[in-house]
Amino acid sequence: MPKSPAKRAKEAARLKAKLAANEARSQPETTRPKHKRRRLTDGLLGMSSAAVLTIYALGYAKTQNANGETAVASLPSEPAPTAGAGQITHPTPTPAPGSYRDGTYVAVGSSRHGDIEATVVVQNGHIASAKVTNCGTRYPCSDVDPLVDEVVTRQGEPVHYMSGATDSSRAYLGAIRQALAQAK
Amino acid sequence: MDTLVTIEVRPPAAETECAARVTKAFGWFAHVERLCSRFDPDSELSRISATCGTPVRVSPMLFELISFACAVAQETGDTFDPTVGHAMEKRGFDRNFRTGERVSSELCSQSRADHRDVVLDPAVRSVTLTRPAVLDLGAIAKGFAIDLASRELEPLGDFAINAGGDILARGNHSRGAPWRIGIRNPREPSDAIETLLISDAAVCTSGDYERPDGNGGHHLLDPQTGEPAVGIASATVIAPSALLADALSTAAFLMHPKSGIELLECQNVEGLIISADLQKHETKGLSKYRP
Repeated sequence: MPKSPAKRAKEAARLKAKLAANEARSQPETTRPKHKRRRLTDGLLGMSSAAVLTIYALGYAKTQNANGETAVASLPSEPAPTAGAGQITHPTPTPAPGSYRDGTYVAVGSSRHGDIEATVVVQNGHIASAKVTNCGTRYPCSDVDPLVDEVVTRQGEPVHYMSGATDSSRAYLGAIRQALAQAK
Repeated sequence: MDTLVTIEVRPPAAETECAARVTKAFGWFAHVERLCSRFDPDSELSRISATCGTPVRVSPMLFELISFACAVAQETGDTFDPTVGHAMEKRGFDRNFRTGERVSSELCSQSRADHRDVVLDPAVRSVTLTRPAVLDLGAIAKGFAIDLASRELEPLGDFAINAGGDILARGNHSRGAPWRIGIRNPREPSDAIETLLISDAAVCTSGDYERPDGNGGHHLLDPQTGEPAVGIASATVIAPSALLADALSTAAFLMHPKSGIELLECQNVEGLIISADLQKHETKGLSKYRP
C-alpha cells in the first residue's frame, strides 16, 4: 500500500534528523564540542565520595522527603521488592580444577525473565560438560552458549559477574555456581 | 529501578549480622528509588519537575544527586544532562514498571531547558527550575544506591553487589583472588569481550542493547538532539565509586570514542569503549585489571 504524502514527509524529516546527528558525530574531533578540561576542585570522584558519605552518615530516616511525605522511620524488614528478588548467596569456595567429585549435578538459576536449569557432569575430577537442560527464559538459551564452553575450558565459573549482562547469562551463571557448589 | 539486585558476601560474617546488613543494603535501593523515580508522580523528583520558577526545598539525598548530575553535565561540556527526562518520555520511556501506568509531562513552554536551568541553593537546600524541564537521574541513581549499600556492607569484608550488570566488588572472591568480572560483548549477549580482575572497585556499563525503544533505538539519548546516541555500542567504566562509574559510562557513551577516553583519563578512571563497528578504545591503565 503506497504511503501517504504526510507519512513520507514525516519519515523524510526523521531520516534527515538522524543523518544530521550522524554527520555531527563523524565530524573531526576539533570541530565537535569537547568536554571541558577545567576540573572541579576535588574532581567528580571527590564529589561522588562526599555525596555518599554525607547521605550514609545522615542515615536512612533523615534523608527522606524534605516535607516528610515519605514516612520512612525505619528500615524495611524485608528486602526491598522494588530492587528485585534479593538473595543472600552463601559462599562456594572455588576448587582447583580437577578437584570436583565425580557425578551429575543439576541446579537452577533465576532471572527476571525466567529460570535456567544447568546440568554439570564431572568425570575424573574434571568438568566434562555444563549444558542447559531446561530453558525457562523468555529469550532463547542459545544466548548462553559461549558461557557453556567457557565453563568447560576454565573448569569452573567463567566469570563471577558480567557487567552489562543479560538476564539469561545471569541465570546460567547462578545455576553453574550452585551445581559446582554441590560438586566440591 | 526495574532491575534485579543481588548481593554476595564471602565468607559470611555471623549469619544474623550478615542478614541484617544485607537487608539494610537492599533498603537503600528502595529508598533511592522512592525519592528519585521519574515515573512516580508523587516522588520528590517529580515534584521538582512539576514546578517552574519556584524554589523547591528537597531532601539531602536528592540535593546531593542533582548537584552531582549538574557537575557531571558541566565537566562533560553538556554531553551529559539531567534535564533529558522530557525527551525520554517522548521516546516512549514513560511507563512505571510497577504500576504499568504511563507518565506524561506537559511542559508550559517549548523552549528546551538544559542543566543551566537547574539552580541549586545549598544554603536552604532548594532546587529551582528556571525553564520547564523533566529531570531524569536514571544515569546515576543506581550507582548511588550501590555505593550506599556498599557502605552498609563494609564491615562484612568481601562482597559483591550486582544491580542489573552494574557491579561493585569489594575485597576478594576467594583465597586472595580478586573478583573476575566479564564485560559483555555488545553483540553476543553471553560472551565476555573482556575479563577483568576487580577488587575494591565498581564496574558499570552503558550499552545500546539495553532498554530498546521499539523503533530500533535505545534509552541513551543525546541531550542535544533528543535522539538515541549513535556510534558507540557500549562504554564501561571502572572507578572507586559506582556513582561515578555509572555517570561516566553514560557520558562516555554519548561522546565520540576518543573524547570519551579523554574524559575518563581526565577523571582518573579506567574504561573500555566499544564503537558500533566493535573497535575497542581503552584508557592507558585498563590493562592493569587484565588477568
